[in-house]
Amino acid sequence: MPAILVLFTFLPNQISKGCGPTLDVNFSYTFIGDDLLGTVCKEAPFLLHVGHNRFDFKDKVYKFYGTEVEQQQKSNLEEWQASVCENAPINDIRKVVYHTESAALQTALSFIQGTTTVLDGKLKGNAFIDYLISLECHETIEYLLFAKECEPFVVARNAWSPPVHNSTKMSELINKGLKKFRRSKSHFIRLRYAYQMIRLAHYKGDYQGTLELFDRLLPKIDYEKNLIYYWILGHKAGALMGLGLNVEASYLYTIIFNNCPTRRESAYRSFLVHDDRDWQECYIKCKNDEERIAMYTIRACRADSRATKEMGHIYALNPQSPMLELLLVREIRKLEEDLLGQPGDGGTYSKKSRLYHLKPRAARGKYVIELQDFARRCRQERKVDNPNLWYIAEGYLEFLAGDYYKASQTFADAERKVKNEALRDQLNAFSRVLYVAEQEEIDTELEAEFYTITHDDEFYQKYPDFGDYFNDKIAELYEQANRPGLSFRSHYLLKELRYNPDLKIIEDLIQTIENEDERTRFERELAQGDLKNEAMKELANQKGTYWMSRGQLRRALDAFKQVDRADWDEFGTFTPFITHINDCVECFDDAELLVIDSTGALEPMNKGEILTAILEADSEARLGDSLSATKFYNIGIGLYNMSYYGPAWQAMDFYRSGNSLRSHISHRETNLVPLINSPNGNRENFDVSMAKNYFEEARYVALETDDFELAAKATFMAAKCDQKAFYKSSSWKPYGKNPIIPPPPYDENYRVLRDEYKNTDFYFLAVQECKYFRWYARE
Amino acid sequence: MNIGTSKYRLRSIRLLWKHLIGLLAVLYLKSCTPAYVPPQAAFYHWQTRFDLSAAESDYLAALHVQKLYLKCFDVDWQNGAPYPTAILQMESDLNAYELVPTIFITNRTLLEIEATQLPDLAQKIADKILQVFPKSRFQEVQFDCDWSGDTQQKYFELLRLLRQQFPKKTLSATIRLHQVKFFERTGVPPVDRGMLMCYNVGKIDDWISENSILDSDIVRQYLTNFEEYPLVLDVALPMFHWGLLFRDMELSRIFNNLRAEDLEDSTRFQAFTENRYEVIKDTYLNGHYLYEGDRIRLEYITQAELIRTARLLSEQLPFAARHISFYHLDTTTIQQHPHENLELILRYF
Repeated sequence: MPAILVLFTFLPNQISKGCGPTLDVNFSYTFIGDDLLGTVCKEAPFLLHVGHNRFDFKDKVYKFYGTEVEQQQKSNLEEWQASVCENAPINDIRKVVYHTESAALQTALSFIQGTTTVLDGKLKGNAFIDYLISLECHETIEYLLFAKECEPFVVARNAWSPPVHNSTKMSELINKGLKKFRRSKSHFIRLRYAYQMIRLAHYKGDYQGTLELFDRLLPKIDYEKNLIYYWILGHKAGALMGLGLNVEASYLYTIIFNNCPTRRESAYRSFLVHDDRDWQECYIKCKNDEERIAMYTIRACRADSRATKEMGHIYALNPQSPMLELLLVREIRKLEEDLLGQPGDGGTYSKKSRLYHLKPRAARGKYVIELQDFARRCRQERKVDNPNLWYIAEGYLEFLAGDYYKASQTFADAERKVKNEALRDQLNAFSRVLYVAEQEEIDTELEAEFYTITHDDEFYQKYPDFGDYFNDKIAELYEQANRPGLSFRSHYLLKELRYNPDLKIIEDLIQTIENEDERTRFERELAQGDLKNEAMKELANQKGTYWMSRGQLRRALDAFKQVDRADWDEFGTFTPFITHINDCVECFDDAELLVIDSTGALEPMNKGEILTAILEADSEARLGDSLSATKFYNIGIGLYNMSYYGPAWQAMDFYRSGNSLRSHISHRETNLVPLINSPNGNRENFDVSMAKNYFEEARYVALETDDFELAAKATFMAAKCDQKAFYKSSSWKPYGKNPIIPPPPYDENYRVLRDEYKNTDFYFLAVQECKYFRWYARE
Repeated sequence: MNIGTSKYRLRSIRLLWKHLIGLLAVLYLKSCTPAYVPPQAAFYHWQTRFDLSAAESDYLAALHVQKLYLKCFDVDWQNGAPYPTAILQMESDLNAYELVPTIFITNRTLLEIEATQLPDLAQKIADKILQVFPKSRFQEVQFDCDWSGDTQQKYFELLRLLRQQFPKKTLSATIRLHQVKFFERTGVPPVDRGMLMCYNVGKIDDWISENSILDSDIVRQYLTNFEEYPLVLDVALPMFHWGLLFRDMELSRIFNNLRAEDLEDSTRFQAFTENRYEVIKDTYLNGHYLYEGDRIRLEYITQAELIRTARLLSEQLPFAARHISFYHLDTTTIQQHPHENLELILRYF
């Protein structure tokens, strides 16, 4: 029975972590695989951050290539390695350049100068330092010391702590740098001194000085246009921008964007043209098509761009530009956001879309066709670098546009043509997504097939979003097949049903498990003998608790009887039959509460035993037992203590929030409080009317035997129930001022206690211990 | 001891107390009926550079403005962490004004952040405020966040933590109209005062909307529960104008301070009503690239609409000493609203 496989194997990821449910934020569907990203997007992963608030695809890409800062560090270290010491491992260079304090570097310098023989412990065994020492390369260490000195003024410690702005000190450092620059023989080091000084001048806000330093220092260096050169150029551009020369600055950003992948993101963000004239002036400055393409790419990458238009410009300039493929992937990603995982017409199957109330952007349908046309043109004209990539994209866009038939034809044809392994893998992923999307009805065969799909670990690892997509689809199919249990299970763990157990779901799941014909297959497939039993126990516990919370105690007991009595203790044990004057739900230790009655059972009992005790006590009390009043009273106490307000609340509920009382106000009738990750909210047992009935019955019977003390106690407890009923009423203001004692009709039992039981011992105890009643009694 | 006598005496004393308290209560009510306190004008400053022009200073002086709410920085979620952006740079001498650092927290920050990260965020926000306002001359700190049901708990917890950071300061929070009307559902932030934001009331992202900034008919629909609302409310009223760019009928961008004069070039823009335009040629506008077919709706505030809103609000708000804060201080904006007009608005409160 594959249905049961679905039940237990197509599990959603665990979404509740720690104390209570938390948001699962990585919820975007994307089927663009790492291989494709590696091929296309390595040079500018940030461009895949499509600018929407809800998905951060950039994070995924950065996982592979690192953030811009990480990439910059990596490239810089590679330059150090290539130019200074090829034999030193990158990690040793990293340690010295980025992670060594000035004091430690100073010992290396002293070591070379012969003023010490002891090297800082952290530098011992470092191949890079050893190399510098062996060549007595004090110039490099002096530079690193200078760079460390500049650091506080140019590097933020973190997002919340900007660099220190101290103009005087920054000017001193520039002067110091100039002296060192002049003395340096290595052009590699000279370029780095220039970088430090130009950066200081820029951050100091001395824009003219920045340009002067650039013009003065760069001609004195024999350099290639390498990483550091473009970093320096970035500061020159920043200074030009600061002087209001945005066109000149933007042209430099175009050059940086085009030539320096590790500064591409900041160049893109800094590029600024105000109007058409600015654009034209900047465009005229471009010396080749690559620079012009960079300008169009920057424009295409704005979050709200009509990228196909810009892609058309790029295509006209150079159909083989790598930027075209990059933009294609980016645009597909944007469309995935809009067109995948959205609730359909009235459908709410996409768990995460529902969670975040997502809505697709308007006019995406039109745009997907537009991009599809462009992809087709690129594929057909065969001027692009990799027509097969465009072919696969075309099929995927057809799928996104909802044309599954055309997409399957395209994929089938592409299957024959595509030879590149990365592209074949991507094609396979798209085809599999299409296959899942195409299914309209669930049956045994399809379940078995789905089981196979979901057990393809390699595929899941490569396309982790497939799990969510698959779960959404299967939930939809089960819902349509009137299988609410399986539909729920496609998205949620069994335990997540605990927030608000739903009988239809529980029954459907029990029925699935009890299906004898299928059991063998299930057990054979899973080879886990007790999984069924565990699930049955969980469901019986939920079902029993469901009926308990609704006051249907016999039904509740029947539900628990569906599992072995020996297992009942696993559902928890409680001591609900103890009277406390004051409420304290967290006080599981009785020492924290004044126990005023212990006629009920004091030993912890499981839910089945509690139900049995209540049902027996009820029957006996109704037969006119001599302890009828006490028994009614004890039942009331048990029910009260198992409600939202009692220390044994876990006997009738699985999850309780202290905030629910206020939040539930808009849902007074249902007792439901909205809760993230629980589709049906969290049900709280606010209703204590059944307990109140028992207290009133106890008082009635107690008075017949002149047991005024018990009658007083029962009245007091009934008054507490009235108070809780007031909390549920529209008169109670969760954030406003409320009367200490509830207004009529919720004060009836307080009044009775005050007026009719003044002479009882319990009355004095209540006045002494209960501040509410004390206040009321003294009114 | 005669219990009966002592009980009688006790009862007599209680009776006497009751009368005395009653008398005091009458006197108290007579003397403490909230007296009318004229409202004070205040302004929001929402730019990253605080450098008052002479015109702005004169404008503030004409309105006897003493209090300025300065947007100190935004807190947004970037690269998996809360991040301060748009940090205020102070250029003017501010001794003449009572300054209120105002921090805008995006709802997505609260949506993304784990509850366990809130104490750290509160600490960072507090440190950042003190960095921007190093002399900590301020008496009040304001937090602005359009929280939702999903983020309410975290936002309120953050405010509680910020309260610990500023135990001696007044904490205020911006309150949207619907958060007053439905306060039982949306909750009341744990702060000392609220700032009722009477703008952005309409559907900004709906091309059909006439004016999303202020529409007294919409405001009217929300004016309930003001008597019950537990916080004293200051009021923020709009005086800004903007242009809304729609691409494929979807709001794409906001152009602050955009005016009809900026769209006069008929080779690029075609007006099809008084405040609605279509872009007829791909073009740049104020640093943003527009495509043919894009549409722009201009929205601005009229004095008549401000008066209608002020009148409606004044009928609902309980008496209290409050500030009427105008959003926002900007040379272009103040040109559209002579200070005499704002004085007139103040008289309605």
